[in-house]
Amino acid sequence: MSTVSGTRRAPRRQSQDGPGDKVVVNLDAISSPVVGSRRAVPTSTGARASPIDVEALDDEVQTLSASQVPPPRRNRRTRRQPVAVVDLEVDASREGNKRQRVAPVIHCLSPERGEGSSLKTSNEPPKAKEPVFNCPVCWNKLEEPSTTICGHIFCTTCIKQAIQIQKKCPTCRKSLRANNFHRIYLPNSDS
Amino acid sequence: MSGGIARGRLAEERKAWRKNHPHGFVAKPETLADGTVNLMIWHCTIPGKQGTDWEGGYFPLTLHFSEDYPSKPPKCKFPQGFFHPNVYPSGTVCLSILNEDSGWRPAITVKQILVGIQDLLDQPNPADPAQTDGYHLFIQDPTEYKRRVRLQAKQYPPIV
Repeated sequence: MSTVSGTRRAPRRQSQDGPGDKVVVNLDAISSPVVGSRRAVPTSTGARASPIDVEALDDEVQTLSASQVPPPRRNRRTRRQPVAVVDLEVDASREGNKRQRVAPVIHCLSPERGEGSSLKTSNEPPKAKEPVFNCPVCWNKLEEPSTTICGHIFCTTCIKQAIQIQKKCPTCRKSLRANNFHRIYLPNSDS
Repeated sequence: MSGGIARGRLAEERKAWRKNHPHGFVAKPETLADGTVNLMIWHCTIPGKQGTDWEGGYFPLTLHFSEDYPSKPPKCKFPQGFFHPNVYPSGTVCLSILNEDSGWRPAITVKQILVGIQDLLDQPNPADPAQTDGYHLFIQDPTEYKRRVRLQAKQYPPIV
Protein backbone atom coordinates (compact mmCIF):
# COMPACT_ATOMS: atom_id res chain seq x y z
CA MET A 1 0.00 0.00 0.00
CA SER A 2 2.59 2.53 1.08
CA THR A 3 4.89 1.69 -1.82
CA VAL A 4 2.05 1.97 -4.31
CA SER A 5 1.01 5.36 -2.96
CA GLY A 6 4.64 6.52 -3.09
CA THR A 7 5.04 5.56 -6.73
CA ARG A 8 1.78 7.24 -7.64
CA ARG A 9 2.76 10.46 -5.92
CA ALA A 10 6.12 10.72 -7.73
CA PRO A 11 4.81 10.88 -11.33
CA ARG A 12 2.09 13.36 -10.36
CA ARG A 13 4.66 15.75 -8.95
CA GLN A 14 6.89 15.39 -12.02
CA SER A 15 4.02 16.28 -14.32
CA GLN A 16 3.12 19.29 -12.20
CA ASP A 17 6.71 20.54 -11.92
CA GLY A 18 8.44 21.44 -15.20
CA PRO A 19 11.86 22.69 -14.01
CA GLY A 20 14.76 20.25 -13.56
CA ASP A 21 15.38 21.51 -10.03
CA LYS A 22 12.02 20.18 -8.89
CA VAL A 23 12.74 16.88 -10.56
CA VAL A 24 15.90 16.57 -8.52
CA VAL A 25 13.92 17.23 -5.34
CA ASN A 26 11.45 14.48 -6.24
CA LEU A 27 14.29 12.00 -6.72
CA ASP A 28 15.30 12.52 -3.08
CA ALA A 29 13.54 10.85 -0.15
CA ILE A 30 9.71 11.14 -0.05
CA SER A 31 9.57 13.14 3.20
CA SER A 32 12.39 15.55 2.33
CA PRO A 33 10.99 16.74 -1.03
CA VAL A 34 7.72 17.78 0.64
CA VAL A 35 9.56 19.83 3.23
CA GLY A 36 11.86 21.32 0.57
CA SER A 37 9.02 22.43 -1.66
CA ARG A 38 7.18 24.08 1.21
CA ARG A 39 10.25 25.97 2.44
CA ALA A 40 11.45 27.07 -1.01
CA VAL A 41 8.20 28.55 -2.30
CA PRO A 42 7.50 31.05 0.53
CA THR A 43 11.08 32.33 0.48
CA SER A 44 11.02 32.95 -3.25
CA THR A 45 7.70 34.83 -3.69
CA GLY A 46 4.53 35.57 -1.70
CA ALA A 47 2.25 34.83 -4.66
CA ARG A 48 3.34 31.20 -4.69
CA ALA A 49 2.25 30.85 -1.05
CA SER A 50 -1.39 30.24 -2.13
CA PRO A 51 -0.46 27.40 -4.52
CA ILE A 52 1.51 25.84 -1.68
CA ASP A 53 -1.58 25.76 0.51
CA VAL A 54 -3.50 24.23 -2.37
CA GLU A 55 -0.91 21.51 -2.78
CA ALA A 56 -0.99 20.77 0.94
CA LEU A 57 -4.77 20.40 0.80
CA ASP A 58 -4.44 18.08 -2.19
CA ASP A 59 -1.93 15.91 -0.38
CA GLU A 60 -4.16 15.56 2.63
CA VAL A 61 -7.16 14.70 0.50
CA GLN A 62 -5.20 12.14 -1.49
CA THR A 63 -4.05 10.25 1.57
CA LEU A 64 -7.57 10.10 2.97
CA SER A 65 -9.15 8.96 -0.29
CA ALA A 66 -6.37 6.49 -1.07
CA SER A 67 -6.93 4.69 2.21
CA GLN A 68 -10.71 4.74 1.88
CA VAL A 69 -12.08 4.32 -1.66
CA PRO A 70 -10.58 4.18 -5.21
CA PRO A 71 -13.30 6.24 -6.99
CA PRO A 72 -12.49 9.39 -4.98
CA ARG A 73 -8.93 9.12 -6.31
CA ARG A 74 -10.20 9.65 -9.86
CA ASN A 75 -12.09 12.75 -8.74
CA ARG A 76 -8.90 14.13 -7.25
CA ARG A 77 -6.97 13.56 -10.50
CA THR A 78 -9.47 15.66 -12.44
CA ARG A 79 -9.14 18.43 -9.85
CA ARG A 80 -5.33 18.41 -10.17
CA GLN A 81 -5.40 18.94 -13.96
CA PRO A 82 -7.01 22.43 -13.69
CA VAL A 83 -4.30 23.30 -11.17
CA ALA A 84 -1.61 22.69 -13.80
CA VAL A 85 -3.38 24.81 -16.41
CA VAL A 86 -3.69 28.23 -14.71
CA ASP A 87 -3.39 29.36 -11.09
CA LEU A 88 -6.03 32.08 -11.31
CA GLU A 89 -8.56 29.85 -12.98
CA VAL A 90 -7.91 27.09 -10.47
CA ASP A 91 -8.45 29.45 -7.54
CA ALA A 92 -11.65 30.78 -9.10
CA SER A 93 -13.01 27.31 -9.73
CA ARG A 94 -12.24 26.24 -6.19
CA GLU A 95 -13.85 29.33 -4.71
CA GLY A 96 -16.90 28.66 -6.88
CA ASN A 97 -17.10 25.14 -5.52
CA LYS A 98 -16.94 26.41 -1.97
CA ARG A 99 -19.70 28.94 -2.62
CA GLN A 100 -21.91 26.27 -4.15
CA ARG A 101 -21.37 24.09 -1.12
CA VAL A 102 -22.43 26.92 1.19
CA ALA A 103 -25.51 27.85 -0.85
CA PRO A 104 -27.48 24.61 -0.26
CA VAL A 105 -27.02 25.02 3.48
CA ILE A 106 -28.69 28.42 3.32
CA HIS A 107 -31.55 27.03 1.26
CA CYS A 108 -32.07 24.19 3.73
CA LEU A 109 -32.28 26.59 6.66
CA SER A 110 -34.63 29.12 5.09
CA PRO A 111 -37.45 26.69 4.14
CA GLU A 112 -37.34 25.15 7.61
CA ARG A 113 -37.82 28.55 9.19
CA GLY A 114 -40.60 29.25 6.73
CA GLU A 115 -42.35 26.04 7.66
CA GLY A 116 -41.97 26.86 11.34
CA SER A 117 -43.49 30.27 10.85
CA SER A 118 -46.34 28.82 8.82
CA LEU A 119 -47.09 26.29 11.56
CA LYS A 120 -47.07 29.01 14.18
CA THR A 121 -49.38 31.20 12.13
CA SER A 122 -51.78 28.29 11.66
CA ASN A 123 -51.80 27.69 15.42
CA GLU A 124 -52.28 31.32 16.38
CA PRO A 125 -55.39 32.08 14.26
CA PRO A 126 -57.80 29.77 16.18
CA LYS A 127 -60.44 32.24 17.29
CA ALA A 128 -61.51 32.29 20.94
CA LYS A 129 -65.07 30.98 21.14
CA GLU A 130 -67.58 32.42 23.56
CA PRO A 131 -67.73 30.30 26.73
CA VAL A 132 -70.64 27.87 26.90
CA PHE A 133 -71.97 27.26 30.38
CA ASN A 134 -73.56 23.91 31.19
CA CYS A 135 -76.06 23.23 33.93
CA PRO A 136 -74.58 21.03 36.71
CA VAL A 137 -77.89 19.18 36.94
CA CYS A 138 -78.81 18.28 33.36
CA TRP A 139 -75.33 18.67 31.85
CA ASN A 140 -76.77 20.57 28.93
CA LYS A 141 -76.38 24.19 27.92
CA LEU A 142 -78.07 26.51 30.40
CA GLU A 143 -81.65 27.35 29.43
CA GLU A 144 -83.23 30.35 31.14
CA PRO A 145 -80.33 30.66 33.61
CA SER A 146 -81.40 31.20 37.20
CA THR A 147 -79.28 31.74 40.28
CA THR A 148 -79.94 30.65 43.85
CA ILE A 149 -79.47 32.82 46.93
CA CYS A 150 -76.17 31.00 47.44
CA GLY A 151 -75.00 32.13 44.01
CA HIS A 152 -75.07 28.92 42.01
CA ILE A 153 -76.53 28.91 38.50
CA PHE A 154 -78.85 26.32 36.90
CA CYS A 155 -81.59 26.06 34.31
CA THR A 156 -84.84 27.42 35.68
CA THR A 157 -86.50 24.04 35.15
CA CYS A 158 -83.66 22.15 36.85
CA ILE A 159 -83.49 24.34 39.93
CA LYS A 160 -87.27 24.22 40.32
CA GLN A 161 -87.21 20.44 40.32
CA ALA A 162 -84.21 20.29 42.63
CA ILE A 163 -85.83 22.57 45.20
CA GLN A 164 -89.13 20.72 44.94
CA ILE A 165 -87.55 17.29 45.45
CA GLN A 166 -84.37 17.91 47.42
CA LYS A 167 -85.00 21.34 49.00
CA LYS A 168 -81.25 21.97 48.80
CA CYS A 169 -78.83 23.62 46.40
CA PRO A 170 -77.62 20.97 43.91
CA THR A 171 -74.08 22.29 44.26
CA CYS A 172 -73.53 23.23 47.90
CA ARG A 173 -76.55 21.63 49.63
CA LYS A 174 -77.67 24.90 51.21
CA SER A 175 -81.32 24.76 52.21
CA LEU A 176 -83.54 26.42 49.64
CA ARG A 177 -87.21 27.27 49.36
CA ALA A 178 -89.38 27.70 46.28
CA ASN A 179 -88.70 31.42 46.10
CA ASN A 180 -84.95 31.30 46.79
CA PHE A 181 -83.86 31.66 43.16
CA HIS A 182 -84.32 34.19 40.39
CA ARG A 183 -83.72 34.62 36.69
CA ILE A 184 -80.38 36.08 35.57
CA TYR A 185 -79.15 37.20 32.15
CA LEU A 186 -75.62 36.14 31.23
CA PRO A 187 -73.65 38.29 28.74
CA ASN A 188 -73.52 35.51 26.16
CA SER A 189 -77.13 34.37 26.47
CA ASP A 190 -79.56 35.19 23.68
CA SER A 191 -82.75 34.98 25.73
CA MET B 1 -90.54 17.49 32.96
CA SER B 2 -88.76 15.64 35.77
CA GLY B 3 -88.54 12.48 33.67
CA GLY B 4 -87.00 14.50 30.89
CA ILE B 5 -84.27 15.84 33.11
CA ALA B 6 -83.34 12.39 34.46
CA ARG B 7 -83.08 10.70 31.08
CA GLY B 8 -81.33 13.66 29.52
CA ARG B 9 -78.75 13.67 32.30
CA LEU B 10 -78.27 9.90 32.06
CA ALA B 11 -77.74 10.14 28.31
CA GLU B 12 -75.03 12.72 28.92
CA GLU B 13 -73.53 10.51 31.64
CA ARG B 14 -73.38 7.64 29.17
CA LYS B 15 -71.56 9.81 26.64
CA ALA B 16 -69.12 11.05 29.25
CA TRP B 17 -68.43 7.51 30.47
CA ARG B 18 -67.75 6.18 26.97
CA LYS B 19 -65.43 9.10 26.33
CA ASN B 20 -63.39 8.64 29.50
CA HIS B 21 -63.70 6.23 32.40
CA PRO B 22 -61.38 4.68 35.02
CA HIS B 23 -59.48 1.54 34.05
CA GLY B 24 -61.10 -1.73 35.06
CA PHE B 25 -64.54 -0.26 35.70
CA VAL B 26 -67.57 -1.18 33.64
CA ALA B 27 -70.81 0.81 33.49
CA LYS B 28 -73.52 0.34 30.92
CA PRO B 29 -77.29 0.83 30.86
CA GLU B 30 -79.40 -2.30 30.93
CA THR B 31 -80.28 -3.75 27.53
CA LEU B 32 -83.78 -5.18 27.39
CA ALA B 33 -84.81 -8.36 25.57
CA ASP B 34 -86.06 -6.39 22.58
CA GLY B 35 -82.70 -4.70 22.22
CA THR B 36 -83.72 -1.32 23.56
CA VAL B 37 -81.73 0.41 26.28
CA ASN B 38 -83.14 1.20 29.71
CA LEU B 39 -81.20 4.21 30.96
CA MET B 40 -82.76 3.95 34.43
CA ILE B 41 -80.82 0.78 35.32
CA TRP B 42 -77.06 0.49 34.87
CA HIS B 43 -75.04 -2.70 35.30
CA CYS B 44 -71.54 -1.94 36.57
CA THR B 45 -68.38 -3.73 37.62
CA ILE B 46 -66.04 -2.38 40.26
CA PRO B 47 -62.49 -3.77 40.38
CA GLY B 48 -60.88 -4.32 43.77
CA LYS B 49 -58.23 -1.69 44.34
CA GLN B 50 -54.66 -2.90 43.78
CA GLY B 51 -52.61 -3.43 46.91
CA THR B 52 -55.66 -4.28 49.00
CA ASP B 53 -57.31 -7.54 50.08
CA TRP B 54 -60.00 -6.80 47.50
CA GLU B 55 -57.50 -6.94 44.64
CA GLY B 56 -58.35 -9.41 41.88
CA GLY B 57 -62.08 -9.21 42.45
CA TYR B 58 -64.48 -7.67 39.94
CA PHE B 59 -67.63 -6.96 41.89
CA PRO B 60 -70.95 -6.52 40.08
CA LEU B 61 -72.99 -3.49 41.11
CA THR B 62 -76.38 -2.35 39.87
CA LEU B 63 -77.41 1.31 39.82
CA HIS B 64 -81.13 2.06 39.97
CA PHE B 65 -81.99 5.63 38.95
CA SER B 66 -85.36 7.17 39.74
CA GLU B 67 -87.31 9.71 37.73
CA ASP B 68 -86.19 12.29 40.28
CA TYR B 69 -82.51 11.80 39.43
CA PRO B 70 -80.28 13.73 39.74
CA SER B 71 -82.17 15.48 42.53
CA LYS B 72 -82.30 12.10 44.27
CA PRO B 73 -79.33 9.72 44.34
CA PRO B 74 -79.40 6.33 42.60
CA LYS B 75 -79.74 3.16 44.64
CA CYS B 76 -76.53 1.11 44.33
CA LYS B 77 -76.77 -2.61 44.99
CA PHE B 78 -74.20 -5.39 45.19
CA PRO B 79 -75.42 -8.99 44.98
CA GLN B 80 -77.44 -10.19 47.99
CA GLY B 81 -75.31 -11.27 50.91
CA PHE B 82 -72.29 -9.26 49.77
CA PHE B 83 -69.72 -9.25 52.58
CA HIS B 84 -68.93 -5.67 53.68
CA PRO B 85 -69.70 -3.73 56.88
CA ASN B 86 -71.52 -0.97 54.98
CA VAL B 87 -73.57 -3.11 52.62
CA TYR B 88 -77.07 -4.14 53.69
CA PRO B 89 -78.08 -7.82 53.44
CA SER B 90 -80.11 -6.82 50.38
CA GLY B 91 -76.91 -5.61 48.72
CA THR B 92 -77.75 -1.91 48.97
CA VAL B 93 -74.68 0.25 49.58
CA CYS B 94 -74.67 2.58 52.56
CA LEU B 95 -72.49 5.56 51.62
CA SER B 96 -72.75 9.23 52.58
CA ILE B 97 -72.61 10.58 49.03
CA LEU B 98 -75.48 8.23 48.14
CA ASN B 99 -77.65 9.44 51.00
CA GLU B 100 -79.89 12.29 49.91
CA ASP B 101 -80.13 13.47 53.51
CA SER B 102 -76.40 13.74 54.13
CA GLY B 103 -73.97 13.94 51.24
CA TRP B 104 -75.74 13.61 47.89
CA ARG B 105 -75.37 16.40 45.33
CA PRO B 106 -76.75 16.33 41.78
CA ALA B 107 -73.29 17.38 40.58
CA ILE B 108 -71.92 13.97 41.63
CA THR B 109 -71.27 11.89 38.52
CA VAL B 110 -71.58 8.16 37.91
CA LYS B 111 -67.81 8.03 37.72
CA GLN B 112 -67.47 9.60 41.15
CA ILE B 113 -70.06 7.22 42.58
CA LEU B 114 -68.22 4.14 41.33
CA VAL B 115 -64.81 5.36 42.47
CA GLY B 116 -66.30 6.31 45.83
CA ILE B 117 -67.72 2.82 46.29
CA GLN B 118 -64.36 1.31 45.34
CA ASP B 119 -62.74 3.40 48.07
CA LEU B 120 -65.43 2.26 50.50
CA LEU B 121 -64.59 -1.41 49.91
CA ASP B 122 -61.17 -1.15 51.55
CA GLN B 123 -62.09 1.68 53.94
CA PRO B 124 -65.28 0.60 55.71
CA ASN B 125 -67.06 3.06 57.97
CA PRO B 126 -67.58 1.25 61.30
CA ALA B 127 -69.67 4.16 62.58
CA ASP B 128 -72.47 3.27 60.19
CA PRO B 129 -72.82 -0.55 60.04
CA ALA B 130 -75.27 -2.05 57.58
CA GLN B 131 -74.82 -5.77 58.27
CA THR B 132 -73.96 -7.73 61.40
CA ASP B 133 -71.64 -10.32 59.85
CA GLY B 134 -69.20 -7.93 58.19
CA TYR B 135 -69.39 -5.41 61.00
CA HIS B 136 -68.66 -7.85 63.83
CA LEU B 137 -65.74 -9.50 62.07
CA PHE B 138 -64.28 -6.14 61.08
CA ILE B 139 -64.42 -4.95 64.69
CA GLN B 140 -63.63 -8.13 66.64
CA ASP B 141 -61.69 -10.43 64.33
CA PRO B 142 -59.63 -8.51 61.72
CA THR B 143 -57.80 -11.66 60.64
CA GLU B 144 -60.97 -13.55 59.82
CA TYR B 145 -62.35 -10.41 58.20
CA LYS B 146 -59.36 -10.27 55.82
CA ARG B 147 -59.73 -13.95 55.03
CA ARG B 148 -63.40 -13.44 54.16
CA VAL B 149 -62.55 -10.46 51.96
CA ARG B 150 -59.91 -12.38 50.00
CA LEU B 151 -62.30 -15.31 49.67
CA GLN B 152 -64.97 -13.01 48.25
CA ALA B 153 -62.45 -11.48 45.84
CA LYS B 154 -61.84 -14.97 44.45
CA GLN B 155 -65.57 -15.56 44.11
CA TYR B 156 -65.76 -12.64 41.67
CA PRO B 157 -62.95 -13.27 39.17
CA PRO B 158 -62.49 -11.02 36.13
CA ILE B 159 -64.81 -11.79 33.23
CA VAL B 160 -62.52 -12.86 30.38
